[in-house]
Amino acid sequence: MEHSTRTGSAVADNDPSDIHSKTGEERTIEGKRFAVDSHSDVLTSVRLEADHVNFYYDKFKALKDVSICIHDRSVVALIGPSGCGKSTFLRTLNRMNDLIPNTRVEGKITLDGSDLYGRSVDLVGLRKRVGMVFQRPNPFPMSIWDNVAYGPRLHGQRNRAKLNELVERSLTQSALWEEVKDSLRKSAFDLSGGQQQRLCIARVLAVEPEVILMDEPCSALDPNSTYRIEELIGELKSSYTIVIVTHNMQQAARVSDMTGFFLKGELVEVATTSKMFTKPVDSRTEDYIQGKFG
Amino acid sequence: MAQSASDYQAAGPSSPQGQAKASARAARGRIIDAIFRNATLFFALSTVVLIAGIAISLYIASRPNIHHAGAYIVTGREWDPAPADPTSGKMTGDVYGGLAFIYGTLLTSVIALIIAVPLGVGAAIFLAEIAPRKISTPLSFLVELLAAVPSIVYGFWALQHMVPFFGSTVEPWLFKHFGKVPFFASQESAGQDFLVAGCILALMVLPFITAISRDVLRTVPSAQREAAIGMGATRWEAIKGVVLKYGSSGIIGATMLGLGRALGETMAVTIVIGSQPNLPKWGIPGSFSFLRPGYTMSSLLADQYPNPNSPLHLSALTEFALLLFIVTIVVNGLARGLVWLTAARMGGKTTSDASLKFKASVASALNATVIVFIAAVFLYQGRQDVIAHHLSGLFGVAELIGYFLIGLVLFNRFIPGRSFYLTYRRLVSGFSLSLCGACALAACGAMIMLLLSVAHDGGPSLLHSHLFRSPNGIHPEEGGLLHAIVGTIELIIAASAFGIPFGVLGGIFLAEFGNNRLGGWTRFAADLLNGVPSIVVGIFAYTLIIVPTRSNFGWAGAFALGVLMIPTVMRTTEELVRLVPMSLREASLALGATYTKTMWSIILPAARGGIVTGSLLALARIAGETAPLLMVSCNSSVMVHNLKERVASLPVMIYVLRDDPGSQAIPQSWGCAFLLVLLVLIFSVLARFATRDKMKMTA
Repeated sequence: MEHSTRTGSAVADNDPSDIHSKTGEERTIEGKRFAVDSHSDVLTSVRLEADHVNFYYDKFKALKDVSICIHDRSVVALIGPSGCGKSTFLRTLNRMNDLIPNTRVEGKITLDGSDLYGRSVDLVGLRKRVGMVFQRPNPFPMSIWDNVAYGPRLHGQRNRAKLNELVERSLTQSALWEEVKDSLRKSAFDLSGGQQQRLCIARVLAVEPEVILMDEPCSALDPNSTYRIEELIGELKSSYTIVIVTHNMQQAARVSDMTGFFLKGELVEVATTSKMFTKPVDSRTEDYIQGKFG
Repeated sequence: MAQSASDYQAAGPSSPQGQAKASARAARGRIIDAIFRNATLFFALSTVVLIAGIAISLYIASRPNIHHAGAYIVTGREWDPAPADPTSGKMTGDVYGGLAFIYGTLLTSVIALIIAVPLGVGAAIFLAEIAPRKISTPLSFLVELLAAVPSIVYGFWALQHMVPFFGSTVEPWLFKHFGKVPFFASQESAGQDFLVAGCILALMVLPFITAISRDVLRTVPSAQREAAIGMGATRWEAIKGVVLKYGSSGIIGATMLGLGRALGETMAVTIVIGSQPNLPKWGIPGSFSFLRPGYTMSSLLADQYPNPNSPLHLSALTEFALLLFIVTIVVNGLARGLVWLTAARMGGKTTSDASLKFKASVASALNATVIVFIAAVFLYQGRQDVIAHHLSGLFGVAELIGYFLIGLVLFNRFIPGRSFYLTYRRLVSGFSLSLCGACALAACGAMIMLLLSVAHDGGPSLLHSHLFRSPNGIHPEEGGLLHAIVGTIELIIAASAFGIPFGVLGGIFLAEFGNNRLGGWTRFAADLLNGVPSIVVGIFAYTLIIVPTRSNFGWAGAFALGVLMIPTVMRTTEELVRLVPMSLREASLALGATYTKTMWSIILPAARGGIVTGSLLALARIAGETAPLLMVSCNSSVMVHNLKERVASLPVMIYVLRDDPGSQAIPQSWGCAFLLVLLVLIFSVLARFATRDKMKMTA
């Protein structure tokens, strides 16, 4: 169901669309292995692209000349020690950093070829297309149903039946429906931490985004909930592009197709995950992955 | 902790003699600790004792009228305190029906809240969510300062500036354009009425609501904001749908605290309400008007309590005090409960299916009621206009506003899903955010205007009206108010001598030993005491001290002021003693000091700044307190130094001088008001510095 809208929007954004519509089909047939390999090819479309991005908190330079291509319907993991700029980079992708006073971006970030930081960009629309899941589960002080319906309602959907359908679909996608279908009216605070995080994912899915940014989504969860979320990421990537920041290298290895390594604001290395964890090019990456620091 | 420290000490020395000495010292330490704990407990319990004492003494004093009139005091329409006197032909008397006063109290409070809550919450949103730090910090300080300006100053300012303005401009305008609506259907006064009283009350509770709501909004985690904005909410949508929802119980709590204050407020209202008991009657639209003089319970007390006609009259008045006390206790209790509930729910408390549905339906019903009510009011006005002038007078101001509102509601239903919906949302967001800014501007503007006009009128008279001279009985024009200035200082000193020790020691108990049920109740009692109207405390002091002794007017006044100081000092001390890091305590105890020793030599010095702050804030509150002093009839026109006698004070002076025909009365009142505001300003600024010092020490 996501399929048609996706391809449609890509066409609308004037990409060389003949290539990706093809890959999209191939992907659904071929499954995971193919999807990983396809990144080494130039076959898939580029959904997000950062080009020589610098970022400043007041005078502190948090990102230094970061360039990366994020392909459609893939999972990209960003790893690195604390304070290396990976979360900052993630937040530049849907302009959440705009909320912090005295920050500045240089360089160019494009979504489907159009500049994110352009003059006429509509922030509300951008964040609808690029959703975000945060480090700690942050459900709103409302019922489970209201939490999921919050986004669609914002964007003008008031039809009760359609909302119900959307809530069910999003909760099913986020693998929470079976657990909560009888208690949709209960406060979201009653759920466990892992359930709350899956609710937050459902809440993002309900606005039908194209890209989902995840900022250490499992750092506040127990191993079992973490497993559920990782499983979920694997399922979601057939229809969404996912960028995930994580502290946990094993997690990056498990869930992602591509991995980027950040250090002190620099993007040291980007490669397919299998290559990154077996034959990293840069010695710093190797040291980090082998646990020599960080 | 003291236990383990003394054990360690006892085991240390090796000789038997030294061991005996050490264990004796340890035993003594334990005893001192126990004494210390129980002594602070005694001071902390003072709040519970005071609450119970006020309830009991007011009940005893009002018993004669409870037996005489029963429930008539809350249902009766007639108020005639003069006893029957057949010789002069007066056949009825001693009739105490207080419905008109209850109506006045409720009406003025409701008007005040309708104005103050939207303005205050809007201003709080601006301060907490929108304004950059550079703007919000000074404005927040201004708001806190204004919460401490004495009510008598507000009242006097309203009498001098608001009453003429409302009487000549605002009310005729309302009457002209909204005259068909019952609330504005008759204009009987020249500005001394329910509306002006409600407006000045709104101005008084505004800083209060703003300050608390801002604190509530600041506690909303930024993750909530980010989640909403990350999903494509506009800034206003994030504030409205998520931030306000998260803080809703806290804001309702703030509103209730404001309501408690408005219900019990005396001086400002008494001066401007016009003092005529008026009740609405069905069938007479004009009788519902806000533009007619009224009376409130507390202003009745202020007018009649100092010189009652008969013991029965006195007891009827005391019954009003009891009523006020009960109502404010209930309102404040609910408010605290709500704030507490927020904390509990955010911890993850279950809300049942039914309660969620109930809440949702209540919210939508309320919403609909408000919209229907507003629409009905404007449509009614329009219909009456059409009847009166046929179609020619259709488009008056009222009708235009009404159609605009109805159109807006319909438009809001129709618009979702349209192509320009996004533009509409952005417009709404921008408009609402600037509306919040306008609220902040209006609130702060009104307050700055008040301060400036007090300075403008009070400053010169401070220099020219012989304020600092002794009073002159023969030539009042040449006399000054030195007796009132000296009296205020004496009263403040006597009140602090009573209020500060109780507050500080009780606060230490709450901070150090108060994490149990006893501490919870004591804290709750302190919060309730904080909300008890000062006039009720004044009447309590009168029944407790003046009725049995027939003298000690000054002491009674000082006692009432001291009681008002206790909760503020106690809670501030508690908060700041809690801020002293645990590690300091542990370091001292680990060296073998007793708990008491640790308290005196380590914690109290570290918390000194905080305790000074609490005391200064309390002083700022009582320096301008008028109602309790009025209740114990503490006033005089000569210099008195003995607190057994009636002592003059600045705030009471303003109240007395306001209808003094002498040419010096008004300038001298302004001088008093200016002095009081200066005093409050100095106390508040000092308090700020004391806390800042303290923060450095812990940081």
